[in-house]
This record gives sequence, structure tokens and C-alpha cells, in this order.
Amino acid sequence: MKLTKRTMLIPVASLLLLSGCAIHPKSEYADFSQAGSEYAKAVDKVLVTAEQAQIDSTSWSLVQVKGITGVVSAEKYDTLTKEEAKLLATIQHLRFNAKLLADYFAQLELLATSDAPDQTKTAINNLVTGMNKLSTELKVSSPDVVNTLPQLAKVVVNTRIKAVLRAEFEKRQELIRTQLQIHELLLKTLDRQITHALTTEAELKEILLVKQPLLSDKPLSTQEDWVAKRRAAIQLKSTVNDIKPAIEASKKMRLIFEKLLAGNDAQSSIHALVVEIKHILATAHAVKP
Amino acid sequence: MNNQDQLIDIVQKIESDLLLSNDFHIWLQKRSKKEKAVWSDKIVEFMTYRIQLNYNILKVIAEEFDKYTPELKGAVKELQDEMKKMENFIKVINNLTKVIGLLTKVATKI
Repeated sequence: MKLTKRTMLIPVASLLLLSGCAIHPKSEYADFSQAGSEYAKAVDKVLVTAEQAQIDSTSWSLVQVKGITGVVSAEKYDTLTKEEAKLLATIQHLRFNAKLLADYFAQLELLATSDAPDQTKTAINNLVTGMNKLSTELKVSSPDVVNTLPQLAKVVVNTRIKAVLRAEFEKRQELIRTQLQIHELLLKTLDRQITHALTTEAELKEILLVKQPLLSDKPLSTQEDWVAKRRAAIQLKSTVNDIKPAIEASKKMRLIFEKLLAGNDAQSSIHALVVEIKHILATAHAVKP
Repeated sequence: MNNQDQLIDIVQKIESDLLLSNDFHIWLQKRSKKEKAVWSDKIVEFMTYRIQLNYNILKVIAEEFDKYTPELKGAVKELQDEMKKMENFIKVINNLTKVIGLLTKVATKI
């Protein structure tokens, strides 16, 4: 049987097509990795918000205590500061954990969006041009199959990346799942701590900066300043609820991950989650700029 | 909800509903200087206790994350290696192209 270029390529191309069909399009992994990177950034911002909110609420509580009792003991204050420092160090530690997860998703994203298939195609194109030139000089004919190599190489590398991504998700499924489960617990805990800190801060600000000057016999020092302070205190209370979607983000990330593993279409859920995560980032920034 | 969660809820509630309440402050303002100093210490101690509870809960979560740190670091390294492999493959092809270019120059002279 005479082997033509076409007959040689059909089995290879079919194999590549089949292997490509068995896994998700590369863009879905890229989107998930991007969502993962954004998610890790949001967790970091929520951690920073928790840190600032706790420092501020403690400070306002101390101002309140000093205002009413007229005294705060140095010893008690030092003990409180020492404990607070331990809490803040732990938040920094958790930020390190979030950063590591961000690094992982960033690396996945790099692989998923890599231009290596195109670079390989260009490199092999140059190689084929060189080989054809050499064949002409040596007055020998180069095999027909050589000219199809660039396109074939692009498909091979592309398939290789998809296979690596799929294998990575399969291999690390327990790790990613567990990480997201711990994140669910972390965000739930942070929500409780942030809510308490922000509510405390808002109430104390309202008492100390709004109610007390208003109810006292003395006139308000600056009316515009008082109005602005009142608005800030009341708005702070309402932002407490805006931070709540952050708790759901890790749960949604985990559900999308399960969808990807099961081979279901997850693209629309991923896009919706990315929008939500960006909203969380903006809210956290608004609460504690 | 575990014990720690319940405890922190109770502590936060006492802080919000009692220690920061207006009624309590009005009552406190009427106390003697000595009593005020005692209460000041108690309130700061209570705040310290709440901070300790928050710290304990977050510390347990951080330790849970730490268990997986080596594996996560390993995964990042493996992905970086995979990227390097592809870059090296492209480098090899580019070098081969250069060699063929040199061979063509030699063949032209022949």
C-alpha cells in the first residue's frame, strides 16, 4: 500500500482530536484559574479588612472606656495590646496561606493561557523553511509530511497543555477541595469577627461623635463636620451586610471545581463568580480603604 | 456550631448589649472614682478575652492550612517545571533551526 501524506496524517489527527474531545476546552481551565487568582486576592483583602476592623473597634472601645471611667490602666492596656499583636500575627500568617493559593492559581493560569502552542508552531515553521532550503541546496526532496509539522506541533502542544491541566486538577482535587473547605470556615469566622468589629465601631462612633455632642448643652463645634460624622457612622452599619457574599465565594468556587471535575460546563458559573468576587473586593475596599 | 463559636457569640453579645450599652454607661458614670477604675479594668480585660478567643479560632484555621503548605508549594513548583519543559522544547527547535541554517551555508559553498 502506498503511504501518502494524507494517509499518514489521518490516524495522528484523529488521535489528537479524540484526546482533545475527552477534556475541557483550555479556556475553561484558564477561566477557573483566573477566578481562583481573583478569589485569593479577595480573601487577602477580607483578611486585611478584618485586621483593620478589629484594631479600630478595639481603639474606639478604649476611647469609650477612658471617656466614661476617666482612666485606663497601663498594665491592662499592655496585656490587651500583646494579645492583639498575636491575633494580628495570625492574620498575617493566614495572608501568607492565601498568597500561596494565589501563586498556585496564577501558575495554573500561566499554563492555561500560555502561547507555547503558537511559539512551537513558529519555531517548527522556521525549522521546516530551513530544512526545505537545505534540501534544495542538496538537490534532494524533503518528505511531504515535513510541511504539515508546524500545525501538527501546535495541536500536540495544545493538547499536552490541556492534558497537563486536566491531570493537575485530577491529581490535586483533594488538595484544592480541602483548601476551599478550610477557606469556607475561615471566611465564616472572619465574617463573624468583622461584623462584630464594624458594628461596635459604628455604634461607638455614633455615641461618641454624634449623640454626645448633639445631646450636650454645648453648641456643635462645626455643623458640617457633625453631619459628615453622622453619615459615616450610619453608613458603616449598612456596609456590614455587604461583606457577607464573601462567605459564599469559597463555597461557589468549590462547586464550580466539582463541576469541572465531573466534566460539566462551568463557564457561565465561573464568569458570574468572577463578577461577584470583584464586587467583594470593591466592598472590602470601601469598608476599610 | 462548636463550643468556640458559641463562646465567641456570647462574649460578643455581652460586649455589644451590656458593656457598650447606653444604660450601662449612665449607670457607670454615677459610680465613685474607685469603682470606675475597677470597671475600667474589667471592661479592658473582657475585650482582651474576646481578642484571645478570636486569636484561638484563627490560629486553629492557620494550623489547618499549614498542613497542606508543602503540597501546595510542590504543586506550584511542578507547574513551573512544566512551563520550563515547554520553553526548553521551543529552545531546542530554535537551536536546530540555527544548525540547519549553518548546514545550508556549507551546502551553498559546496
